[in-house]
Amino acid sequence: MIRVEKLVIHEFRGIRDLTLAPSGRNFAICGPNGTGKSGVVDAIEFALTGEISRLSGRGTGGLSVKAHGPHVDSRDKPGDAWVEATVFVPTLNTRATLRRTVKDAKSPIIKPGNPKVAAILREVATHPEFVLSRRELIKYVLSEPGKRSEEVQALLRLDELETIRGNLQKIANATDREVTTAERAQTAAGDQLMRALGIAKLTDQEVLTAVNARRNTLSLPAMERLEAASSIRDGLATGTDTSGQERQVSKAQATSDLQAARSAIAAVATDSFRDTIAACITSLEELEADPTIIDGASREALLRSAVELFDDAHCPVCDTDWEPDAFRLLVAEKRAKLRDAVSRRDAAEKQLEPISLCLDALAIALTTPARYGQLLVPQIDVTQIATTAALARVDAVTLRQLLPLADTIGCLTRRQHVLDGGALLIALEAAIGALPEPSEKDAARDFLTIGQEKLEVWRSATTRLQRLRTRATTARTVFDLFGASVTDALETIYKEVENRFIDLYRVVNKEDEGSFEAKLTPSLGKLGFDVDFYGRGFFPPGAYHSEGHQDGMGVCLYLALMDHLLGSGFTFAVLDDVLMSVDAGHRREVCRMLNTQFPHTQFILTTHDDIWLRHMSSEGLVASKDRVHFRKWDVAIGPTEWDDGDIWKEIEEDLGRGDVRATAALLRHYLEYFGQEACHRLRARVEFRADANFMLGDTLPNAVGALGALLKSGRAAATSWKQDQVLSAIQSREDEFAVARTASNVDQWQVNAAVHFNAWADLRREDFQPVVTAFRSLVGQFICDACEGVIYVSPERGPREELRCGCGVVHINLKTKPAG
Amino acid sequence: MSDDPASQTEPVAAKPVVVRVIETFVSSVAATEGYSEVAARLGDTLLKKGSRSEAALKAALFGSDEP
Repeated sequence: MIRVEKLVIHEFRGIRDLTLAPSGRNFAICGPNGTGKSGVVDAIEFALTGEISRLSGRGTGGLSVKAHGPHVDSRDKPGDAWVEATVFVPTLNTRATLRRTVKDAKSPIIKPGNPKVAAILREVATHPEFVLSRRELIKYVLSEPGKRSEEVQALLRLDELETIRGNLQKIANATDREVTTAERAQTAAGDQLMRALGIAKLTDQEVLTAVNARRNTLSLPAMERLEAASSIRDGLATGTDTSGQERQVSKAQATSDLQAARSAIAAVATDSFRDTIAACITSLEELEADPTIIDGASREALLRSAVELFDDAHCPVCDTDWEPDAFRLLVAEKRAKLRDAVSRRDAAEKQLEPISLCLDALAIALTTPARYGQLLVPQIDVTQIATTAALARVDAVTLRQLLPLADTIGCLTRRQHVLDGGALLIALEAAIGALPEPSEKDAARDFLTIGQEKLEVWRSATTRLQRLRTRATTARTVFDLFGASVTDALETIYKEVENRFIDLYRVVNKEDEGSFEAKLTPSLGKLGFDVDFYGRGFFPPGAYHSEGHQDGMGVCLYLALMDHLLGSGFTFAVLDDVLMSVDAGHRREVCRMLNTQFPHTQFILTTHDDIWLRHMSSEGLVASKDRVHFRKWDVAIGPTEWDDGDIWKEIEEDLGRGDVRATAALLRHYLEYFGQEACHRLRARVEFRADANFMLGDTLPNAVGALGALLKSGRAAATSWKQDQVLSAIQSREDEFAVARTASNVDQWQVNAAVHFNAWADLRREDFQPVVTAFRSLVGQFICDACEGVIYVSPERGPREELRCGCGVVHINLKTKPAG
Repeated sequence: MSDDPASQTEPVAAKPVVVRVIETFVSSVAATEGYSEVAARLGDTLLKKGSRSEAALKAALFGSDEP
């Protein structure tokens, strides 16, 4: 996706002002703990994502980017805290600058305003996993399988698949519910049609027999077939019957509807219905007795809504500022605790559903006869019927809502009383019964008219049901295919990750574990991880392997997963001190693995170990120019680099204040750093120390000796090639070097009390000034005046060929002319 | 890495996991008799547009068919 070319950090975390230029290449940040390395890592993460994972997640309650992202002295000025990253986008072959302030972390300023660049940077912002810290590393290796599965799935973005799966399931469930509702509607429409036609079974033959009998009465031709668009009224003229009451109310139809109403009333008066109600009341009273259950269910519903309404910045209830991941994690944990309450609520809802369905049917069955009241002469008061229908409808809704429980229980208690259907319908039945019998032809006409209406309703309901069934089949089929595809694909992917992991680990450990094997075993919600231990069997990584090997496994597994997560987009990663714990014997191999296996990925590496830094350099993982070496950190000024050119200024300032103690300490500290650096660059021989704890006397004299020997070799080479001008330049350099060497008294290091033994207490400013001048002059002998870089021997291994600097101004051949 | 980032070409490597899983899924839908149009719409929604929402998936499953 991107590579970072430049990073400018201002008033951010522990940094006041710092500019780094990784230039799109691997880059190392080295320094003791507490010198500001993590601040740079935070700045990179913040620039690219707007987040700082160190300030979010578990155990970081009360911390936030907005409050704690700025430098402590700018904590009230989040607008002053910003990070600017210049990035290169390989796929677009273009550069862009992205600047993000803590005040407005979600809205970076991107220049130029290229929509394609903006889209890629938005994508980068969704991948905070490009930063790997040691804390993150361990969770892939030593977690228990359930936790590892969560972590790996989170890294691989399988939550996206879960989102798709959840939505497909929602759609499939919703279409199933739509089918159920449509089936009820179609059944009701069929019942009404059968009642209207006076038939017991809804078949074409039964319908045609009933219809043709009436058509015959009206001298209409018989229908031979019942097709989708057939009208049983076909040929029937409108307005040919008598006008008035008989026309508005078909006695036969009204009688049939009243019978249906009585059936519905009877259905809610059975013993089994009352038993069902009694059982529901008992269950609900148990729920009511333990308020935590129903409170829990209500809270869960509220939390579910809260997540849906969360705008990635503020709590939707109290407007408190939240980091998005922290908010979602908190809500998810709370919801998990309420799972039992939700399950009890679901069971209650399921128990109530048959009662709701009966009440739905009652409401429909009473609504039709209630309409007859106004059509009859004189009108019949049907208020009670209409009210009963409305109440049944409301009760059905109340039961489906479940909460508040008191309302649901009250509703059920009311439904325990048998509905007095006789009293309710008696007046209407009497009025309908008193209607004059229609003529045979009018009755036939009413039959066909009402029958056609009911037939159309039934046809519409049937068509809708068929469409919904097709949709439900589609939704369920696709949902099932998704589940099967995910399972198959993940098995394949885990196998590939496993193979990639094995390959990477073998590159790092080829000398002692060249036949290493591992098994990633996915199962329901778990991801087993067992590794081969020297052919003795497969065991969890923590069982027998050393901590260093385990960390190596963590790095390899992370890289294998990132390869699969981002594919060709894995162009950038920050390894925050994770290589530190890798076995010392395997560090060079880790460097080689990163170089050879990830040639298109820019790594930003932090370490507090100078030796590690040199390994990175000598293995070609990080070029000498692509690193920064922090020496100290101060709350007022942030991190300070060793080689930033200000060290002598700082020493002079300390001395200018007469603070010999501080001057001597700083000078010694710098010379300790410089002595190691110079020995490394000049390939000086140094007495080996397994703990790599080199004192000043262990390195600086050796570096001085090495430079002297190299100049001597250069002089011999120039002589052999008869290069008089070069010879003269080297001799001049040797003369200067001899003066500086003598002045610093470095050859008699053991007696150089001024620096070595910190005998500053007895020294005055004017006593110490010559010491500073002498060592500044000595250090200057190792530095190119033009590029200000430390000179070095090339190549880093094998016969010494050249003493040179980065810019080429210092360029001394060390190879003498072959004899003859 | 080479010194000039601009000179580095992207490797042809595996696609992101989610994309690979979705491609497998869309292929299996396409291979199901009568589901070629659904597969085409799902591919467009999930792979080209990158939509994951319920509304987008519903539109992909049913096209313009409204119940």
